[in-house]
Amino acid sequence: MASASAPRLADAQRAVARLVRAPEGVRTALAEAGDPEGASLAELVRGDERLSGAMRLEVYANAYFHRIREALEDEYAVLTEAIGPAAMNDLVAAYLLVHPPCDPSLRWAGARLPEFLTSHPVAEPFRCRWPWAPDLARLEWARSLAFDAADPPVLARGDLASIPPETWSDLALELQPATQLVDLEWPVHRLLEGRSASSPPAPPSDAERTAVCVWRRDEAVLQRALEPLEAELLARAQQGERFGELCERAAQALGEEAAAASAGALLARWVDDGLLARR
Amino acid sequence: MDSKAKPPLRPPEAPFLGVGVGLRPVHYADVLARAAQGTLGVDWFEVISENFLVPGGRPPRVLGAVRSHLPVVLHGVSLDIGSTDPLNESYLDALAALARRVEPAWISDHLCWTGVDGANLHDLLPLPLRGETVRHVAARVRRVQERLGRRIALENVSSYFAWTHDAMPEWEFLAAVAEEADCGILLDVNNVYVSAHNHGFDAIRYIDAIPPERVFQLHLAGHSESGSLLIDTHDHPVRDEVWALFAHAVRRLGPVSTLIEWDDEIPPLERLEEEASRARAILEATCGASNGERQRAAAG
Repeated sequence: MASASAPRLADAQRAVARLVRAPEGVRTALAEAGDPEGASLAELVRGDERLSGAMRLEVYANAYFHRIREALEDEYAVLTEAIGPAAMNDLVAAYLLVHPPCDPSLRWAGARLPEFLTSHPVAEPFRCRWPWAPDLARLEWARSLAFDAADPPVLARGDLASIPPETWSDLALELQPATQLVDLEWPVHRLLEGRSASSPPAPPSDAERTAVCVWRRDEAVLQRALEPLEAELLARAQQGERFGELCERAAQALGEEAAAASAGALLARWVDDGLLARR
Repeated sequence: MDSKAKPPLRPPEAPFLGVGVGLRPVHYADVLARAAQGTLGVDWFEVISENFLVPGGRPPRVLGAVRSHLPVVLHGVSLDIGSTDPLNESYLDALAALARRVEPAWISDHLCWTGVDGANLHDLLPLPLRGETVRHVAARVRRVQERLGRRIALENVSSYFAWTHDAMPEWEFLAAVAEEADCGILLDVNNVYVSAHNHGFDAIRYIDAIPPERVFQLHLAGHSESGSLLIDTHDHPVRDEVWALFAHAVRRLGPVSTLIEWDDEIPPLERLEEEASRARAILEATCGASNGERQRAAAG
């Protein structure tokens, strides 16, 4: 079995990994490299009377693509449904060439799909055909992050009641790690609302700028579209602005009289929704 | 087992826990309800470590609740112990933190490589069966064990190709790594069967070469046929041939904690409990392992 000319382990692993990741499969990759008979592979991988080394390695190549495609189809279930499984297959193939998985957990394999769909030149055909797809990917990824984000104690109304009135303007709000604001160019949030198996999603036909808040309450991932003022105040709160500053912004938009009630109502809603963390 | 024969030595940190199953999200609600009622037909759970290396939410909450009822073992798929990349320090930090939180009975991963140059293939690829690989892997296992403050167990994987320059059979490789690293073995009986078919070796000979004093745990699972290969798909019941090999293994190894894996086309929990019952019956018939012994071992 042994021979004195075994390749270094790192070189052997690199060569096999390159073939396993080859988008058209092991045998095509060997042929494209000018080695259709797989002589170079035979120095690494043994074949036998049942199967060549290339066909044996093909098992891993198929599993690599199918495993990650399945993970991404789960992660981006609505996107998959909206563009169709064949297009999703092509999207995953293009994505993996640019962003092969680098994290020990498969859970993060799709982390860069929104960025890829939004700006990578290779994704241009997908953007042209489905201009709302980058927004949908960003929204689904935000929901995925919310699912297993850290869960510090939720700020409750009782916590607010204990704050002395004279310190309210200095109050800094902390969003729950699961709470995220997603700015959409296309109203794809509707694709995730009221879904049912019998009614496949109808993608948006027109752009419509919308801010959506994604968060988790107990174990449920929730979302709702925000009015522009609420979106701005929540974003400012996330950036560390104090409650007094938020009230000033509300006053600029609504006038002094309406602002106090409006800011108070928004804060109450954020607390009731569970968007905020107790410091 | 011959009642006059001396029982094989067992690893002290791996008591006989009985028969467990893999904890999967589709069963969370059932497991929690039945654990609270005390009606679970399994003795312990194995969880995929990576699925719980997350900041919060449902997975850690469920794991904590399950752990309050039964022993749990952490089973990883991405330690990448055979890679030539440096060990992933942040992964080890996260795994150590998870272990502190869960207090698992033990921690296991696979004797394989899963990636190189920072890219993960998310598969369990076989290593060249050579002396230099033994030394490479054993040195890394020792570092992991120092980091975790405990011995780990490494599992033999199913494989579909072999390296041209292999210089020893897989059973010798597995035993040599375990010896040089001073680590445990998670012997996957189905993987032995699958690889024996795929590479044309004798599964019994493999089992008989495994040092009993290093075996922390056994795995059982279903496999599928694909052309002339068997594939470790974990989407079927355990096959009769694998049950027979399991009986042979426990005759030789004595009562070893055994786990049923089922990861695709997952049936209701009751079906997994049936598989666990069959494993338990074989353990009891073969080496007399009883529920009482199991509980004493777990308590000890």
